[in-house]
Amino acid sequence: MRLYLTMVRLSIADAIQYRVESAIYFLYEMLPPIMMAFVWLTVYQDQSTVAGYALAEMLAYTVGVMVLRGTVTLHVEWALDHEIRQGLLSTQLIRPFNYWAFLFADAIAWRFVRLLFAVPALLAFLYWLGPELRGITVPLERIPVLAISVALAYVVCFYLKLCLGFIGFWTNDIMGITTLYEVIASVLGGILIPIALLPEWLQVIARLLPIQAIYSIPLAIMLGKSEGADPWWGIALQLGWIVVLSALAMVLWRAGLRQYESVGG
Amino acid sequence: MTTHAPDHPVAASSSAHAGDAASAAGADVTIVADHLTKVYRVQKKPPGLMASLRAVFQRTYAEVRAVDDVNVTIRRGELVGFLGPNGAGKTTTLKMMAGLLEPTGGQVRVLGHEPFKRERAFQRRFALVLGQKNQLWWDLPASESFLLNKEIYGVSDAEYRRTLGELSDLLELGPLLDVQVRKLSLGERMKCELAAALLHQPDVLFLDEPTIGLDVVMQQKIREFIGAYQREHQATILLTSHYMDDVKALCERVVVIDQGRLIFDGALRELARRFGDAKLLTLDLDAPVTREALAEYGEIVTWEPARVSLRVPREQVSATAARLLGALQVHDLAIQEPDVQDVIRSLFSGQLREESPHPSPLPEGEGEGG
Repeated sequence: MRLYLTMVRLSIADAIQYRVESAIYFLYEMLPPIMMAFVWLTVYQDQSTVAGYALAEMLAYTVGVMVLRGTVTLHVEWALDHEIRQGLLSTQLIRPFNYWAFLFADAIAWRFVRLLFAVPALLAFLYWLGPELRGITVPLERIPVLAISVALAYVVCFYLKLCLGFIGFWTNDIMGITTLYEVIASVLGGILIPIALLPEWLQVIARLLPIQAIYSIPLAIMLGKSEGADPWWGIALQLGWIVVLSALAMVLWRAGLRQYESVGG
Repeated sequence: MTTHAPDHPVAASSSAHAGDAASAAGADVTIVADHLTKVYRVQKKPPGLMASLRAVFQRTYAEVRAVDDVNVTIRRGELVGFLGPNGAGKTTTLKMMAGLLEPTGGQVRVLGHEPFKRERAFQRRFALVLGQKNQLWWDLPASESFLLNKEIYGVSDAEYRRTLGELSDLLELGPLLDVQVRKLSLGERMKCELAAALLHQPDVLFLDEPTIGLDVVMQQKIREFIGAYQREHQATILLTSHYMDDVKALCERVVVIDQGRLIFDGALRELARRFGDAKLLTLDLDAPVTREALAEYGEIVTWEPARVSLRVPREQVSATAARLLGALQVHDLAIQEPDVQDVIRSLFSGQLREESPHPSPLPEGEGEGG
């Protein structure tokens, strides 16, 4: 335990060194929901609901995306890509510790530092939209399941990004992959708009992707929009994705290490 | 897994050397490489645009035997220099011993473990320092990385204070510990890298080019430190270096590897005798002589009209000297053994292969030497 606390502490100290970069990435994470808030304010001038969402709900959704982008959307793939390409992974592999746990702790630390920016931004956002959000309440009994769902979203995101990062074993760099992921996640993952707004056939695809377990499921629980009506079904789905993605990550890790070794470690 | 070489029939019978060591004192054998082989599969990249395009669809691979049937046994407390030209397979061998690479053939055991299994119990007992890569956190002071290693290796507080104190004294780390690593000089960083690698007091230490790129003074300091550490801790150290001074100062025993094959294993001075199969004849002449006239006696090393030196194969030295004395007006003649440094320099530059009469100076299995 002391080991992991030390890791988190060092990672925080390290991440703070990159506060300027952190501020830029913070904008990258926050701007999409902020821009969507403007879009919704315009769209709802002519209609009162969109795909079953009232304006207050839709704005609550964008606030939720903002919170999740700030807390859950970790970027372990960038750290991994760096370590693989620089060959620094070698110095990790020979040490008696769990490298994945190290990446997990590192991701938590970066999220922690990001909160320094995210919390004030979120408060300002809430102040601006406050009047529009009136009427949105989250019943007390839904808070625990929401908290569980957010925590699971973090784990899903970790394993998913781990898989993305492991692609770096086979490619010169993972920029292409991560950019593609961002586009897919924005549209099909529920970052820009709720999945319910997509055409029928795209919704089918979106519900087959793991990204919904990061954004759509916790947000649906928060808004009581749980499409399956039962929030526990959403939790089960998240757990399922954790099992699948962690298995996939293990397969990629093993194969990737063989590739890493074949070029000389 | 704590088996030692004797439980391992293959290791014990692999070569005379391994056999000796294993039967003499099994527990003493720290590293055994037994017919160790590593083959890389590399993609061939043909030159030219068309060929590159074709290669996208039809990849062709070539096999590179980076390490080829290497047998070596190293006992506890030995400090062995690992020499060879660039690309000879030194780093690949070290990486197999550290568990970073899986052998393609043969096997390697370090402290009774198969390194590639990456068992924690094994990893806690060795360290690998790669001179060209750093394990220290770039943006933090080295002391932070030390703390992380303390936790990773489970070093107790008291032990940590004692070891860090000792390392700080030996390496003069005091003022460096709280400076961001990125702001340290290359030499200062290497000192910190070494300290980070030694905090858990490894029994086995692999050093890959620990002095690369350092100035002469810093090389000297690092070298002295390695020697002092080895004496005090009876650590087993395997060191590769490009700097002959490192090897001369530290290693009684050297292992030479070339094109993946072990071509020498023995004492440093033995290396000069074995490979320095030529002697140096230096002549002071009363009458100048042309290069052409000299060429028939041996390979000209230096030539000034009145002073020349020649490389002459060991067995022809006296005959050649007699002929020279008869043919030229010789004022003085000296016969010298080649310098170890020259021998190894020619080993490193690959000249040895061309100079020696047979391409592989030692037949297989004779690699144990001294």
